[in-house]
Amino acid sequence: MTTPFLSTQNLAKSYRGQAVLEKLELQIEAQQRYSIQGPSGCGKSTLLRLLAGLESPDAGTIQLEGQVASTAGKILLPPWRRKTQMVFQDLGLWPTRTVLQHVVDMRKAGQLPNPKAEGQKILAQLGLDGLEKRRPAHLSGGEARRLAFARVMAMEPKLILLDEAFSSLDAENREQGFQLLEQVIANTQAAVLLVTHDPLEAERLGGTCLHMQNGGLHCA
Amino acid sequence: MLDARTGLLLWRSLWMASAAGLFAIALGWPYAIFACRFQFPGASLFRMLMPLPLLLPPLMVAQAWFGLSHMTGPWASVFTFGVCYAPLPALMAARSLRHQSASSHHAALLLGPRFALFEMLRISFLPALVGGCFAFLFSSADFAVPDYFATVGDLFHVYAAEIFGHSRNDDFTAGATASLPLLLLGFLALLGCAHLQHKQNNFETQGGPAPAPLRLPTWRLSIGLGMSALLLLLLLAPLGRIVFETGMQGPLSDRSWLEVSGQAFHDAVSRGRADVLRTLSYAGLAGLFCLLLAPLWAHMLLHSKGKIRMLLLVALTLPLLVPSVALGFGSILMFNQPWLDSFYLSIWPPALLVAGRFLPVAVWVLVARMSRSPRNQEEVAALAGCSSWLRIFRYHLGPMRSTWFLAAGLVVAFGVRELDFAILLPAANQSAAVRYYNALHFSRDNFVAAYGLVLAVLLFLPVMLHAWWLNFTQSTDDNSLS
Amino acid sequence: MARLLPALVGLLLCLSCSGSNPDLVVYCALDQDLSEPLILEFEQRTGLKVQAQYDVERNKTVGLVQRILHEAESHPHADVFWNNEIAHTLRLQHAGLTEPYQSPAAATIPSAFRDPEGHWTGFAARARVVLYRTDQDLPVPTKLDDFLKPEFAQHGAMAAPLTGTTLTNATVLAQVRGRQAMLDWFAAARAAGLAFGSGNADVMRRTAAGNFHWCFTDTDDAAKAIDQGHPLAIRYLEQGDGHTGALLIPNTLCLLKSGKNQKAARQFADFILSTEVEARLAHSISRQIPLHENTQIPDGVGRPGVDFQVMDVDWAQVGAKIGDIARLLQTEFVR
Repeated sequence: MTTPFLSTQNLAKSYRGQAVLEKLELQIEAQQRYSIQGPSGCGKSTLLRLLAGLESPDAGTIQLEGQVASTAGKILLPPWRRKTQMVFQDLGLWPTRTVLQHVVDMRKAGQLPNPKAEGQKILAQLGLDGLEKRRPAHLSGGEARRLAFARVMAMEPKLILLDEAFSSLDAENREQGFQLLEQVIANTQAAVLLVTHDPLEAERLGGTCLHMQNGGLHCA
Repeated sequence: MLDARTGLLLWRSLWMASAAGLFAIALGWPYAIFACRFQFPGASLFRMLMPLPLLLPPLMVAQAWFGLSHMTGPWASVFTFGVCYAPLPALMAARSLRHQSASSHHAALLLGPRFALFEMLRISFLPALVGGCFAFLFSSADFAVPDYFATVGDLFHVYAAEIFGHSRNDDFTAGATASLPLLLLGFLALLGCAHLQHKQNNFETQGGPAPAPLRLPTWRLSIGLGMSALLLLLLLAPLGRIVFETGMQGPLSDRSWLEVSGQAFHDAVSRGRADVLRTLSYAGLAGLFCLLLAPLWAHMLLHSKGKIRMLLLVALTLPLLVPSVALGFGSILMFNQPWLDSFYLSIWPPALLVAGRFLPVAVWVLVARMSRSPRNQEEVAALAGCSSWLRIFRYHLGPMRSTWFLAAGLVVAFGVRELDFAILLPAANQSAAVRYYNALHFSRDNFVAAYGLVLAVLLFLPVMLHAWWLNFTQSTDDNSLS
Repeated sequence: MARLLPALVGLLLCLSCSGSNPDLVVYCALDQDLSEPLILEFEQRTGLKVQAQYDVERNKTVGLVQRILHEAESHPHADVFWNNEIAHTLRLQHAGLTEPYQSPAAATIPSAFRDPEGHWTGFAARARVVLYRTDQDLPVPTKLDDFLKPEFAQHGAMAAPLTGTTLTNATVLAQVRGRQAMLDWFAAARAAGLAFGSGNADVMRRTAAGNFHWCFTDTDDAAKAIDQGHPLAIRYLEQGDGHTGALLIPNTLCLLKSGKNQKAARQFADFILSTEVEARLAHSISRQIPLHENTQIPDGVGRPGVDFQVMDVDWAQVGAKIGDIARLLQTEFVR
């Protein structure tokens, strides 16, 4: 039996005494697609932050490629060593950096070759060529979203976490978003975990659909 | 005005004020970043103490540092100004860091702590620069500190002393002419600040949770030690020296330090109490004016364009840029009329002058905050038929009460420190600042140190309460990298 | 907030309206800690309500004197001006703002310190002295021209002559030796290594701290340093035959012509110019030197003309010239 790329055992997290995640078990295989559905506030984003290493769990462990990455109250493998990237609901672009700097920074951080040339190539692939010197405040909503995906693509991660990345979009833009994601997945061969409250998005992504309820995960 | 002597004075003032501004940034900027965004032992205390050096009179800090290090000359003044005004870049940078988007911070953190730190530096650079510009402005107008450090070594003066000298020698026209370069420079600096602030607005989030402080276990102790060293430099060392000076005596004295210090504090409270109350009454009234005026002015600035905006800016900043002695004389000429006798003797003229002079500070703080609040909050109220007054004061300012009160509080704090026109106005003459400087120049050093500390504590209380309130109410994304 | 604002406004309005019209308005440039208790005592003795206004040495002459001059243009307020020096009182006299009054309490003050017409009266003086450290074996100047010799100058300091008693001193020097000679004297002193500080109190503090062996300052500053327990002593300059004597600068009291409370002003002048008040000022931390011939003098305060020789000064001339000298010295020293 092969080791999954990421797995959690008995994962638990609570805020101000209220349990958000309880005994959560999850396995993510390399290059596979997963979606987690659930109502707002059920702990979907918290799960992503735990997986990314931005927070530590209260109990349980997270393993990455067989290695313990987080355990109760501790982050053993910091976020920047998890080969994981995240697309935030509000995109989380860096307001002071230009479009080109966004992708170049990612490649430099990942010590990947030809940061500038590859960065420009990625921007061109995602239709951002000509906007290299603009800052996020001067991009349209669609351009900003493309930049968020370009940033992920530049890092060549093994796992992409999507936190309600398409929730605020109309049907047409959402479809464009998914096409963008397909492009990124094709380029990076990464596994994808999407959290959403919309069953249609889960369906559109394909792969394994999970449902979050009472702090745990169930097959949808 | 154009001779070599005044040219040299102006040049010296410029480089000293620029160096002071840069030094203030060098101290205040890292202080803000580490105090606000990193976890280390006592971080909340460091955040709370951030504004305190601003409340100590620069001359008092100069005396304390001379006592500690015997430094002299222009660089000693630069050092003192840097230490005193470091809270300006620190507070501005801290405010911007509080409004950094949590997700952009996390996106940087996914690349490593170095990238997260760079992102913090980038997001807070312009505000720190604005704080440095304010430090430049205040340093360029101060001649008391350079005068103090000129006593040992080569005598040197700054341009502000030239302006003041003309007024002292009755050459008011020459004084007014001489003040023009600094006035112009100050105005340009403020315009620059306005531009930087406008640019910064694009970098800050309009709401949502602030990112939680970063916890780097291996660096925790080093950060704590570095911050302690910075706090020692900014506050603890001068404060400790001032406390020591409350009871300082010569070697032949037969009185103990405790005895002298106790007497100095007793004198400070018993003699200075009434003056403090008087000062607080007119400074408080000024604060109240600003509580009402600053939002209106800020609103006008935000909604005006082109020449009108420039006119509003000039009218707003002029009282801050002209020497305060000139404001005092202007007030005498204007209000000292037989039919205005009661008014002239009341606390209204000093209150109006304090409010007029420091209104730009309050407006600045509010403009920065109001420009980030969503326009639709006010628009919804407008659609509901609310009056402009309600729209501004309830729906626009309601969610930013802490900033609103902070703006007025700053006016009160600056009003308490104001000396030059306080001497000239009847109701402000028996004030804390006049008593403080009177004692200082008549060599009552123990009393001066004790009274200065009492005043600083008094001014610090509301600031501390504000910091506590912020800590209490501020929402964070409630997570940490542990 | 809507309920808090009116309450705050109401409170501050009450504060702004409190207080009543005083029976006497005194503008006072002497150390507030010294003058305030005396003014309070005057209030207790007479039952009169006094409004006192104080000055800060940094602002001398742009402070209270300028205020009197500006207020006089439209609506004067002060009844009495109690100055801690003389030159700027003379400015008010030249401006025609003083009211003559020969106080019976000042009868035993030497005529050199009184205006013949009673426009001002001097009392409780300060002498310009050298304050030196007693724990160092270095030479101490005995006359002004010693300041020009490097062996003295390199260990000494004085305030830059831009304001206060140092400016008065420079004006007296210009009057005695001539304007150019005065400028040359300062240039030579600086060339010899004399340090120039921002004020008398500052150079005193630096001498007490051991940065200088001696400084040229006023007796009140010197007294405070000695009182604090520093190993210091004072020396009067220009003593002995053929020397001019030490410069003595008195406090001055003048009544203002525009004062609305002349009777109370005279009562106040009689009180302040009394031997009792002079004695109290002499016994105070400032050790003001009494001018009344019969005032009780504590240890450590010299009696003018007896313990030290006093310089004769034409104060009217000093008052007339001090403005020009100040402008001249600003271009020399503010650089």
